[in-house]
Amino acid sequence: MTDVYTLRDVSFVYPDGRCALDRVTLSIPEGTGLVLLGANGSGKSSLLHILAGLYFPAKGEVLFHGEVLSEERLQRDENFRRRFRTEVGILFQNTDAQLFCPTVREEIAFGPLQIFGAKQALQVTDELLAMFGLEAFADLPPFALSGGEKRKVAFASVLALRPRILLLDEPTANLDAETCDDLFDWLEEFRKRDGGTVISATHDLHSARILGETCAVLSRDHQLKRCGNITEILHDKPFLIEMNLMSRRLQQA
Amino acid sequence: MCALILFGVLIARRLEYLIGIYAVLLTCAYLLRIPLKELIQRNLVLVLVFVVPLSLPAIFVAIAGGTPLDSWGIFSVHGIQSFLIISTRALCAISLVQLLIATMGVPEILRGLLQLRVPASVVSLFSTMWSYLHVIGREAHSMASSLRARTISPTGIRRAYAILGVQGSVLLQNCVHAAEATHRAMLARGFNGSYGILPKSQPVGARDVVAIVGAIMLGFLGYL
Repeated sequence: MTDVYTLRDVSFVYPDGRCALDRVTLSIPEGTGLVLLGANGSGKSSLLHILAGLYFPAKGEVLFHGEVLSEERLQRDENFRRRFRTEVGILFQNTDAQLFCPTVREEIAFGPLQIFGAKQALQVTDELLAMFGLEAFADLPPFALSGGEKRKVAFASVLALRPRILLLDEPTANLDAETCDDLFDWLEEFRKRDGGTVISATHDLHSARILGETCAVLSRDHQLKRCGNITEILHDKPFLIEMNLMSRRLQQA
Repeated sequence: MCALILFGVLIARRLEYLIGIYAVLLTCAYLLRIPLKELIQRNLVLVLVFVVPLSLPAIFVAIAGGTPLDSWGIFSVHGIQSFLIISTRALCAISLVQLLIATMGVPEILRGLLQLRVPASVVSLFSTMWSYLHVIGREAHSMASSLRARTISPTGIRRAYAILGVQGSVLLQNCVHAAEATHRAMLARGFNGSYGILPKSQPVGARDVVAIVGAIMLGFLGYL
């Protein structure tokens, strides 16, 4: 299996000087289900944004299929930008920020209209509306929907570009049990049918078990502390408590 | 059809004809269950604020010339006619736009603007503004609720203004953050500066043909 991403000593600092990632080195093979675990503020979302080509490291480098992923390259190399944006989809933690079109239909069609053109966009949109059971909401504005429905629209709009790599930021946050199950089913289908790579950031240990088989743990000082089999890591309770991923009180109870 | 009625409004040369069009528009509004009182109030406010101050000077002989209406030679007959025609024309155009906005969804209006060759970036701006009005509204509402929940009751006008000022600045900050996040979401989905819009095929039916022919006739009757 080839690596879709290779990170070498990646550090990221916010404009106000706060450190978000400190010398992270990581390889992500194609077809992997990788879960990024870490306490609040450990840098999971920043890492996902770097993998999505939305933030760029202050130090170190990120390779995408062996090619350097940089801001300059994305701006200047049109072919690379198109290939990258088609292949990588990101689901944001805050769905309100992700939904900006006047109707659900246009929201889903936004990506395909940029990359493929109107005819294919129409076809893909209709398929996804049916797949996610959103036909009844197609002409409604996204902000008028409930939290779970918004999450569905956001997920459909990400899948509209037929990505091979999905980056999910807290995918199960604020979702009820049924919508969570739907999401897990779609992800399972995405990985089985398309051989896709799923990289999720979460601090929910229960959903982590389902989201992937590999796990990378970020510490509160923004370093990558451990990377390996998720079952092994989730059984190491002292380590999870140290990483602020498991409540000591709940563990005792 | 609205565009054609607007065309009729623009080329009409007789006052009674413009008044007739305004009556037709009010009838449409009544049939569409739009509150007439509020519609007329809004129309008149816009005309009085924006149109009358600009067209009023035309009633004076010194500006418009022509036959004087009175023995002192202050008011011009031709000027008064022009003033009434301009004001009524503006009244018709404003009520038509308000009728359009009140009876159509924003997506349809945006689609129409694109088909009228309004630059895509301008339509994109309107669309984003419209979406974010709701996000800002929700943000403002939750901030106000939070304020109420903490039972902060300002004890003086200066304190009230201070709280209002802080809330306004925080709301602005939140809006900037939201806009940045949205821009990142657009980039992640391949945004290249142009705002695509889905084609929507709407076959022309008998009703549309009648409406178009009627509007064209209405327009030319006014010109004659």
